[in-house]
Amino acid sequence: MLRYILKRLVISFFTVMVLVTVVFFLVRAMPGEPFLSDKLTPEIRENMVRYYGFDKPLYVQYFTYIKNLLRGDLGVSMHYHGIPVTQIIRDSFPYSASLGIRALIVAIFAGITLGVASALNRGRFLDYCCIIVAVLGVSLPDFVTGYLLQYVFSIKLKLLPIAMWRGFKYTVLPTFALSFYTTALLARITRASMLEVTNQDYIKVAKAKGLGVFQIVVRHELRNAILPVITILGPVTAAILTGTFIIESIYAIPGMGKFYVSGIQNLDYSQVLGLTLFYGIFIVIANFVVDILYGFVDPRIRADRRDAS
Amino acid sequence: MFVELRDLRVSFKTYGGSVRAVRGVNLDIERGECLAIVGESGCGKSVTANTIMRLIPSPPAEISGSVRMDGTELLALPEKRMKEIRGKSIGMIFQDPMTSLDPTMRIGSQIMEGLRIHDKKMSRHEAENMVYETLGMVGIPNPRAQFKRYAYEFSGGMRQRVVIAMAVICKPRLLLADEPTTALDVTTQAQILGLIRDLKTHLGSSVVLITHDMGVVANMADRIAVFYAGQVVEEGASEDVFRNPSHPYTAALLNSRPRLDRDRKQKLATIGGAPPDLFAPPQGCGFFERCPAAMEVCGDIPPSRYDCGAPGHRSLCWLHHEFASPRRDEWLRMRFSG
Repeated sequence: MLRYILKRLVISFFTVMVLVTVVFFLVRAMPGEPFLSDKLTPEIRENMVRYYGFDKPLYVQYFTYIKNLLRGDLGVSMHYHGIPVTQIIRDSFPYSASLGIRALIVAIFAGITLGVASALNRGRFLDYCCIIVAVLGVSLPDFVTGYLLQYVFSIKLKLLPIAMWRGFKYTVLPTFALSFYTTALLARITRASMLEVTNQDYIKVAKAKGLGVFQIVVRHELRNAILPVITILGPVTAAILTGTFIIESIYAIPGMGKFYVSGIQNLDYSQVLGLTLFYGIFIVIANFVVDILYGFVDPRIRADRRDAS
Repeated sequence: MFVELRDLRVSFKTYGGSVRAVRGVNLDIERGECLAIVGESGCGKSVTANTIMRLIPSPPAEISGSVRMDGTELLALPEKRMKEIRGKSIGMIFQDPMTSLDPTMRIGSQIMEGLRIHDKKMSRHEAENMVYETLGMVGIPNPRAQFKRYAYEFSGGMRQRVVIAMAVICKPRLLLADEPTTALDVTTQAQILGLIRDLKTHLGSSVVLITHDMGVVANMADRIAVFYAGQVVEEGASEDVFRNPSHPYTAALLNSRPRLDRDRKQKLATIGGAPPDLFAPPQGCGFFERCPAAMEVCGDIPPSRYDCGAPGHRSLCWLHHEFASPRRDEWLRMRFSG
């Protein structure tokens, strides 16, 4: 197992390096330059170009960036003058992560519950209700869900604050808005997977042993049906925790979401690179955790790994 | 009588209509006997066994008739009481050991699960010992080491032993074995059958053995019930049915076994045609179209059950009606001449 983890770590490192390289050159291939504002005098512009090292050849810039990166330095933002990208992440990520974790927890519980309930009542009323919720969740864009929740719960019912991030009450609406899509996604996957497992022989065997429906679901069906759910959970976790532009904008949450967009708009190379890298590392870690979880859920995968190493 | 099935009917609603899988089955199972249910694929043998266990969800299936065990009507029991019977009073062995075990659960836990669900007061320690004992009983060497293993670590034969251990851990009085050896190779087959026979003697349970293999039947069964198109067409003591098959279908079935004492050039005998469509069961006898001894009446009126000499030996065939005796004699001559 330890060898497997080490192998995966090495692979992950290379994945991240490839990501850095590709994004580094892609960002610079975008039309335009960072310092094109009319307000800048030629002298100032020249100073800035020198400060950020743009006067050097591209490969030198690249290696400088890698060298700094290995020390944990993501460079300084070009738009927010003088603020290191790590600082931007450190200031905004906690908001995004806090919202993301709440949304993720809601999505996992609601999604799996809906999926199981739906599979157990296949073809009946409850199943159709769950399917409708799932289809709505996947097809409604989050700017619709976000505004709709605000309209109903803040403006009409006056139950919850409409925006900002100042305590638990403020978190409820954005959490639901953000989790809706993921809930629907997980519900659909859980349902499909449960239906497949329900037809397996060992479920009938479990019933023949005298187990009740609940015991069969908890002990046999869920455990076997959960693999596809875990698979999707990796990238979903990364996406949901690292901030979302639309939901954070709608609810005025100072999270990371807006920096992805502003970085591109302002051609802020270091900001784009830093955030993409952060997101990438998150995905790599999440997939890594998912792979480890596989082994816990399915002993056959564990055994394959043992044999491989 | 220990278990009685009376006029059991099961049909499945599909988009294409209703499939009448079991069409009025009457069966008796005595205490401690081994009853073999024989018949080709789709004749309702498995459905019958699954109905005894109430493993067929109804709806969509429509089930009527009666299944009594020690006088208790199983078909009318509330699900809660039925759960207590499943696994405890009736154990079931399934056909395919490769898919009958949960791939993600240790086999020890899977066996123990059935035990502890029926005896909630039993301590974990006691239950574990019981599992070791049962694993030993079904011929799995070194039970303590196997307890924590997973299904994928076992061969097909060993998995079937695990499945059997799950079925017998509560010492059920009735053991339903639904083609327990179909998925196994021949040598393993013999071992598993031997095991089921030993368990039957050891536990004193009744065994219902579902199979389409006449060789298996000859080895194991005290009595035989031959199924055809959802009905019992012939039943009787094993010896009587083999020596004196009284339904043309049974005779044809026995005739199509591969035999060592036959000329090698002779082709294997088969039964021509196909079983009737159970979406629209025939008006008369289900075997009419394939029967070498068919009479006019057979196609129009369903046959009654007739005694065929030996006690308990009955056949669902018009040939045994008193008016049909010339035809019957003709058929018997034809049968014995080859």
